Amino acid sequence: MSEKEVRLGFLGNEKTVKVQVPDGSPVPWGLADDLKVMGKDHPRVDALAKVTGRAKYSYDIRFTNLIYARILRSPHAAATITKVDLSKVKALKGVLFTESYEGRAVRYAGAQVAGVAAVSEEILDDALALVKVEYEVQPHVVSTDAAMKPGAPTVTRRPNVIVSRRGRQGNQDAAQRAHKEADVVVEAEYRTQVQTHSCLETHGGVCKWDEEGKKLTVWHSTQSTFGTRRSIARRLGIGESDVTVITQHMGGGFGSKFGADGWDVFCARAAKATGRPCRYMLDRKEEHMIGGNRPDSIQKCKFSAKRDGTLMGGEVHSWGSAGNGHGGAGVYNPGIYNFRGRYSEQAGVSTHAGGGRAFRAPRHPQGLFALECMMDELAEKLGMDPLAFRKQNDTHPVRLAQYDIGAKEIGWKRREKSGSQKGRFRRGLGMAASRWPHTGRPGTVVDCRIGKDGSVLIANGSQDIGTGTRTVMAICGAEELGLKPEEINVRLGNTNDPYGHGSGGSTTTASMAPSVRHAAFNAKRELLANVARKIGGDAEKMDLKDGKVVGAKRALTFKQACGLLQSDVDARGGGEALWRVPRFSREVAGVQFVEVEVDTETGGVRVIKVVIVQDCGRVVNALTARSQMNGGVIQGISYALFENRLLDPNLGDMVNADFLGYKFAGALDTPEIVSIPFDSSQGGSITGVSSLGEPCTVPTAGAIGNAVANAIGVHVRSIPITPDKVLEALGAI
Amino acid sequence: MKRFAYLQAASFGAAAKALAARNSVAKGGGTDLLDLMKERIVEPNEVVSLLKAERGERKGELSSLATLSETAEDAWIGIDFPAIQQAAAEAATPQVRNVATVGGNLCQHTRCWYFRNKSFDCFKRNGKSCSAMEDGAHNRYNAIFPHDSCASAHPSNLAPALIACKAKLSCVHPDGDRVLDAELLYTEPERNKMGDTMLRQGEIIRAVVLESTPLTRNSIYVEFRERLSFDFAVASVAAAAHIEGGKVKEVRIVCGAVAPTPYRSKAAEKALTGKPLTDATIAAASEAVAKGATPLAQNRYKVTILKSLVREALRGLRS
Repeated sequence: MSEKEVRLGFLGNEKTVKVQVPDGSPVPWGLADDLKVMGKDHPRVDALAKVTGRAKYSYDIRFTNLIYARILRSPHAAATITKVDLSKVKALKGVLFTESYEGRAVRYAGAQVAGVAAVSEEILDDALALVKVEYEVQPHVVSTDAAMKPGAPTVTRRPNVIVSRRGRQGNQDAAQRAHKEADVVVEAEYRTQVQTHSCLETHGGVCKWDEEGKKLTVWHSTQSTFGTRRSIARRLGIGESDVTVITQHMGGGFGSKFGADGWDVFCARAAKATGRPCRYMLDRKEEHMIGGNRPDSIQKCKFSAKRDGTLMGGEVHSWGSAGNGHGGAGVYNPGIYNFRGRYSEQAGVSTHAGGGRAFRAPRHPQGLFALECMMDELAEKLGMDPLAFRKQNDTHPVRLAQYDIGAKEIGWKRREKSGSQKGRFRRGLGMAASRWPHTGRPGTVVDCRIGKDGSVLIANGSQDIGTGTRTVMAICGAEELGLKPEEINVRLGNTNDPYGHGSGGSTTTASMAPSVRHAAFNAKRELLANVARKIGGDAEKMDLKDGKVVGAKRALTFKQACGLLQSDVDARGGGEALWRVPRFSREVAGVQFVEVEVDTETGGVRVIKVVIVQDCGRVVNALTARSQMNGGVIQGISYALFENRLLDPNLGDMVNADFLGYKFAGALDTPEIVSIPFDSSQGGSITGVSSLGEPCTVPTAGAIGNAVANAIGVHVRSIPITPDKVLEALGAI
Repeated sequence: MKRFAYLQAASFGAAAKALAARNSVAKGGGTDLLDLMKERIVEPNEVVSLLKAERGERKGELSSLATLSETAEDAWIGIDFPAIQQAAAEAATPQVRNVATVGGNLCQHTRCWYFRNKSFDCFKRNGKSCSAMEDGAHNRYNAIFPHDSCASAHPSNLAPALIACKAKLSCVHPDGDRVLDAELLYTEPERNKMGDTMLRQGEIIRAVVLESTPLTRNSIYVEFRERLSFDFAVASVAAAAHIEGGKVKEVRIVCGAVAPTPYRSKAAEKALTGKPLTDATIAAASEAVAKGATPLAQNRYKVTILKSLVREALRGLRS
């Protein structure tokens, strides 16, 4: 063990911390380190495979004897399935396997009624049309408002509206005392809609058993290969070691794909019963209805401040529905800023609807829409600039630096007084802040093999959710080995390789980077020890840089050093010791600035420009970091202006379960996006890498809401901000 | 999807014969037909593709098989019938416009999501009632001039433009061809529920017959979409005016996406005829268009947007 000094922070705000480094372990990267590969622009190592269609997604897995499975789903939201007649289905040539769910209760439209597997998708479609079902239909309630009313049909045996123990946070007395001491109080109700994940590749996969029917391989569209392995093994009653999960490429998860679902288990049963590989990928309608969603919210907010701009009380009562279960519909509100007293009470509301799932920054986009618009409403009432008001009540060192960068880039000085414009088309500027926990945790194990021929393989069994994990692994390995990313082979997405976490909470890159670096470091030490053995010298004084061994007795390229090996080096990285580095700040920070144009005659809102300044600790790949930020912004625009899951209250079925009625931002709706990664040394691990995927979609809707209010002088307190709401706010309906 | 036979017709005559004889549907670009068949909303025994039929259009005709892209890029259409050019250019996406045809655009079914989901009752699908008019129904995109039985909104971009330009449709049928006013193509849902049009079984639009006049040359099409990429219009307006001596000699104002069929506002036309196009007469015309609107619970905003579009279109005709 030796004590080392590591510089954390960013230019203009630095601090030095002391770190105990175990012998034979890498010294944490700090601000002063001159890294060659990390933080630069690197095209994805699999870019060519993806754009040429060679990359194989679960959707693309084919076998000559492949069969297809699908589940017939209830159009009713509440019912008992009294009879399922499969006689005609079973008589259909090509149908190989059926299951009936007769007698079961239906608690949402989309609940399973009967399952069929057949030799072709066409026969499967014919078969589903032949299932005869009788339902005993019961009263249902699909809207959160309606479910909260006394006398509403209940979804489970418990009441529809439940405040869990975790649903009460903060101190109500303190919040109310702060309100009393305040000069200005704003009370408003904000609302957000249900958003579906809308992954371009739907849920599902292909299941194939070995000849004895003992070992199962699943090609699964998942953001957690090991999560799928665990859940499908448990649900099938087999051992985890009997299951291999493979995810080479996937078309989006956003929090909805952490394990095996009912349809996957049905697919595995069909495959086992028929002895043939079976495929079940949800269709688009199923994906919208049962593949998960971001719960809606109703947020009654009361914020207060002193006339000098001191933020005082923040009190929020919220209701939201994650569908037919309980809970899981909380919001992050109030937060971020220094409230003198804050309290929130959050109720989960059960409805007869498809269940919510984690969705890119759970609780945050919905909470921040209300929180950030409330901050603007309060600033407006105080007669303060909303940016100045935030800076006065924020202490995060990173965000305080980001405010100025963003304001300069958008031209915040141009911002006119809210509602001062008179013409038909009005421009508005708005902004909002972002936060997310610092992430990354021990547990990820990485293998690094250096071959006698100089080839390098880095392997881990978890998946690339789409953020470019292969490239991240190549970059971190290349940095440590003094090579170029393209000189590293990466293998991932197969549970036969070492364990890696599911891609949730923006943890993948942050968790992977230290273990990759550690594995490469260990392999390097072994390689250099061999060099010392072969040609003499002190291995501790040698290192690898620019494809060469430095500090050796004679000039040696990396390849020549490998040539001295007796056999391949197999090293492993991971463990708690990589994480004993203090953090620079308490959480990840970001800001977004938005310019919009509102057509006051039609109510149309067009986003003109978005500036995003986002902290993610140390940037691994600046190119894909900006790409992530662009994606987060686009998803945020889509949430703010377009997306909305609509269930018909009379039948309970979804009316817009496609990509025409369920609208999201298209190419023409996407504005100029200026993505500025805030590269800093945040500590936490030997690489200092932190979260990025989620925080960059957190504040977009709030910033857009504020920009719209700046343009038209009135807040639209509900997303999506559609033309009808804008016209209504303007009194033009 | 129900199994079907596929026929590639070599001529409109052959296609008409095939369509008259069997439970069949005509296919142009097929961009929507496939979706309707997958949802079993349309279940033909035979699909008759017109794409390889001899177009045979004459001077002054726009083939019904012309794609929307071809229509939008046609110099003749652009100069003599700007409303038609603009309507074609605004539709869907470049990919759809490259395959979708003029005939298909005119004969497409409504996008009303209650029509397109068989779980719901739908008058147009021979059901008892209109689910879009039920309390609480999601009808924000439906008609603001609904009929008693159906609140669907007509989705065609081209139809209002053709009607504004007094286009005629040359139709082929085994029993004899005919020329139909574009305005008479559409019929109330009460008369021909699923069909939308007055075309008889086996009748196909061969070409749009266009005559360039001062009215058509001063025509315009405007629409409002919620999103700019790939969306159907919330409302659209095609207008054409023959202005002589500073006064409106003749004018046509036809609205899309506001009623089960394209909605021609004779009241607005009357408000303008014989008068100059001024801010005041334009405002009066826009009020006249909205008069008689009976919006549903969620679509009052469409009336405001429609009025704005009428003003925008008429201002465009003035310049």
